[in-house]
Amino acid sequence: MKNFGLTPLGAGAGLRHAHFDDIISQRPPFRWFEIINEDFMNFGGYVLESLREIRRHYQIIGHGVCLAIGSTDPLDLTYLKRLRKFLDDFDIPWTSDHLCFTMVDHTNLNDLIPLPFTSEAATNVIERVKIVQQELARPFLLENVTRYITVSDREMSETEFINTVLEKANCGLLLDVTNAYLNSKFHGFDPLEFVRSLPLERVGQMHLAGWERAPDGSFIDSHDAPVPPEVWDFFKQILPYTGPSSVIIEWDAQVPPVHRLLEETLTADAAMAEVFSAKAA
Amino acid sequence: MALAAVLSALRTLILDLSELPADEPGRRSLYTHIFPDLSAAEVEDLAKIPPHRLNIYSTSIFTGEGKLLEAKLPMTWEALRKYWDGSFHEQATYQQVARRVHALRPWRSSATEDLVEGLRAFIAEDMPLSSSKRDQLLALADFELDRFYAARLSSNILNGQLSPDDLTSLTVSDLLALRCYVPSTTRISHFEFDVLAARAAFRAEKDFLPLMPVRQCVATSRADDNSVFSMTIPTPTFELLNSVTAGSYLTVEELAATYLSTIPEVRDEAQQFQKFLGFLITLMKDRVLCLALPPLSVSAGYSSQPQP
Ligand SMILES: [Fe+2]
Repeated sequence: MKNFGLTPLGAGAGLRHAHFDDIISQRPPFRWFEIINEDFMNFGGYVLESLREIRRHYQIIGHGVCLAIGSTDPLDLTYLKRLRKFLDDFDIPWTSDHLCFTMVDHTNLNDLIPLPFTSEAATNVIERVKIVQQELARPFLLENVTRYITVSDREMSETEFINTVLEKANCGLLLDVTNAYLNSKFHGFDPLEFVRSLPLERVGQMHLAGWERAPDGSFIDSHDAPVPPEVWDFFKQILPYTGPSSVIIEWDAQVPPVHRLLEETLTADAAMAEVFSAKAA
Repeated sequence: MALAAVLSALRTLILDLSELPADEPGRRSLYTHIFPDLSAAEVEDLAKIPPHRLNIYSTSIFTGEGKLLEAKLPMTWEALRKYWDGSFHEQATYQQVARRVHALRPWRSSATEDLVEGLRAFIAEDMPLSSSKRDQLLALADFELDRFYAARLSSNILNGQLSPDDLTSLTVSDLLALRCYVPSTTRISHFEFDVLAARAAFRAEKDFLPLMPVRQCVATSRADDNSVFSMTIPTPTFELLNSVTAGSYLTVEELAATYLSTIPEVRDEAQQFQKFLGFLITLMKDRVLCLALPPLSVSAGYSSQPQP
């Protein structure tokens, strides 16, 4: 089974508020959009009405940032029920969130904090993913996060941790290509080796993003720039292993005009066409 | 549970401690002391994490929260930074403000409502301010919270509501019999400061502090095109609209009587009517109110419901 059994949608983009009006009035030829669920599900007004209009013309896929799947605070069942209703209302076939924690001690850290790679942390995530799958009643994917720190790898490596969670919870992988690439720079490993160690038949979706280098040469995963050439190259190296999938460009800050975002998705489509036509030949 | 202790320790390291020992043995002995629930192996794992890497998270979290608060409550945030140390001109940094707000009013859920309400509680109870400055900041916060909720609440606007154009075909008695509903997106508040003048100055990038002390009744609403409007309304109208609870209504006649009592200087009846009509149409356009016909009376052989 390829692509975790999900329909490969080709290249799309993360839907951001700044583009609503242009998308509604110009209907640019994006194949699909990924939305941040929490940017819409708690709203009425302009935001929700814009999404309703956009959904009439485009496929929408969900993505969350607030599930806190790795936390030890109780799972927020009210949030999950609201999310289920939202996904049903907009006929969203699958959704995802991050393999990390964002809440602990009932405090929102408002960031994606990595987990220790321990069997205890894995078991905790597995049990929670099962509840999430039951509540949401649709395929659910977890995304590998950028991590500036290693909390603990004394019991297992990151790929062993990801494999354990995905296999035992039977969920999909949202492979963030940029995150894997950046982590290889932060922690000094071979990014392709890392990706090849993942359960690639479970990759149901991918992310690509860019970052701006700080004047001191350091960089963080800022999603505020075009996808850099080294990530495009890495993406093309990965594709033969994953096969066709659904890929989005994440551009969250210093958001470009909609036509520039579209160009970026066309580049992703061209990369996929190049790799898969070469493979078929 | 060991995992809970590890995650909690990470939270403390990222949010609460800004200075950590630069060397690993120093961190190990500190963590052993402040995290008694951690095992020796867990302390060792956490001590290996370089403080500058933890700091990437601290910076991102506090900057993110500051930017979010600024986006939702821009004048409040700006005033809070200006009044931070009791001085008007020295602005506190995003990091400084967001860090202290988070320490005293931790963000308890993923809902933005909780973050913005936390900032209001911080101003009301935690900031060392003179009562005059506190009152000004609270007026700004309450005004901007009205705008925040008006923008994002789901609307319960009824089907069958009338548009301003529909009014022209009505007789005066039909007009006076119409029902006025207050949509869920309308917020009616009163302030002891001129928040609308402050907003105008802020938008023109002019000084908006200190606020001018004046009692102001403000209706904040969301129009059909989703723009949020705030307008002053006379005190009696404010009191009348405030008395309309969810699901209940008042008649245009009641609204007119209250409004006319606020313009005693206009004596001519036709002029009074024109003035009131102008006011009513503004309320309708900005969606402070929705107007609907009273239900048709049902008599034998006639139903107000369309027949299949
Ligand atoms: Fe991502």
